[in-house]
Amino acid sequence: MGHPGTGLASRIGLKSIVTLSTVLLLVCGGPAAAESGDDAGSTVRHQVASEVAEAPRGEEVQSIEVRRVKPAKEKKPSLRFLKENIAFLRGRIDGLEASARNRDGDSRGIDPRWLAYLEMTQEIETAEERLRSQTDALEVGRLLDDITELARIEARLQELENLLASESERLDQIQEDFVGRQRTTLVVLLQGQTTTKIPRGMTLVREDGTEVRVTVGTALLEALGRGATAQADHDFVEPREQWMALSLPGQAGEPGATGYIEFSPVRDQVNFIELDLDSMVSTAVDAWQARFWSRPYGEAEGGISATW
Amino acid sequence: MARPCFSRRTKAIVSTLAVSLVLTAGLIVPAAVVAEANDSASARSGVEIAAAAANAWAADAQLIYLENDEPVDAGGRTERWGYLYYSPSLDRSRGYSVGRGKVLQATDLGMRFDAPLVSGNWLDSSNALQLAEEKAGAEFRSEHGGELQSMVLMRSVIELDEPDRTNWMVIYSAEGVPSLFVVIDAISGKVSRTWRG
Repeated sequence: MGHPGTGLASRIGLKSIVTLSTVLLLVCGGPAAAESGDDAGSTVRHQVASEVAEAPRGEEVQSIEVRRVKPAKEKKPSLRFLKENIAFLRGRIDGLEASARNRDGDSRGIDPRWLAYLEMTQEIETAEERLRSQTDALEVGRLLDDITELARIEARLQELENLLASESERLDQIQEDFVGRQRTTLVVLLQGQTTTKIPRGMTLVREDGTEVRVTVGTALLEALGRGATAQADHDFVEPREQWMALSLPGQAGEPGATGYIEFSPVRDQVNFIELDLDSMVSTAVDAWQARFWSRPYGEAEGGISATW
Repeated sequence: MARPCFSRRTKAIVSTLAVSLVLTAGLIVPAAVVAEANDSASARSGVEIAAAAANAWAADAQLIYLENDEPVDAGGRTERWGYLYYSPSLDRSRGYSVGRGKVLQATDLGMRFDAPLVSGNWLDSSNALQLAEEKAGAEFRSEHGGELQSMVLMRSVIELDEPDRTNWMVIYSAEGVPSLFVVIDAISGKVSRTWRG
């Protein structure tokens, strides 16, 4: 998965190396925090962060079991006809492209939404023109007090009302189009206060191969110690049951550890996984703790803003 | 006070109604259970679900192909539909198997397949199957003991001279005889071609 703009990095699989400079500390949520002085700001930030750490009020929070072994999934056959006949269909597409090039040049289908917007723009221009002429006519009409003229003015006002109604309809259409295009996203949060023992780095690997390396630097460690929650990753994710691998590097010549968590992101919502770094001080994967919850867009609170 | 007096006929009608109600209640419960247990759906019902996943994979993902992943019933419904999306920016295709209202599986196609995107307003599988049955499908099945094998939706490909047309291709097969292909214009609902092969 990739945010628009992650580009090449996302394509080669290694999405980002997360250091302190790129980890967003979720301590700058409210204007109060931004406006406070250093000390006062710290207090406010700490409170906000604590709320985030306690996080989801109202949402159903699930504890996620961390396993040593990658979850096995039964693969059912899909798109069988296509796979059995792909050579034939591919050949037909090549023939189609050649034929299309011969006839119309190389082109692709235009998204119907853009065509609809174009039509809407034309309608708006026409409506504006009509509105202008109606307003001019209205100005002239004001000078006339003849009853017949009044009836004509009433008819014009009715027409203006109709124009406003169609304008509102267009706005509804655009709103539906954009509101209907919410995306499913996943935010991975880090939390933990055992500052001296917290792992200083880890790698998150999702089922599709997207890899995120997280480095826990001194400043982040200090913030976590004060109760802050940090965002390690935020990306689009497919709304389906899937796993993620959490890998800790080995220290002082000892082997590292890898655990797997399974989760089901809810469609068109912001989904959160919170990793408890305190539980990850040992390489005993079974003891690692994680939580999962989700919330609809626009209902974020406690310092987590939905403006990403 | 006068006691209400019911005729024998009225009593018989009331008794019959009561028995019918009891029987109907008995029938309604199992029917509801069956309806709930039946997870099959038409092709259109899974598009939004597949699109939500595809848009998370690639912002420019476009639906280019779909087919049934499980046998299709007489109403043009199945337990899983397979939707294939293509991303021009990634130049890759990814398939989503959708059933029971969720994405059950997602896999990269693993080979290049950049078919043109399908039109947005295509006929649902239930309508397409009905048209195919009326045209030649029902006859083929009864004559050869055949069955519906696949329902495939994609743009052009079959009709190279109609590159903008999204078609349903309904394929019937029977042992010992060539398969029957019924091609339907997925927008107008007109059966454009049938052939055996």
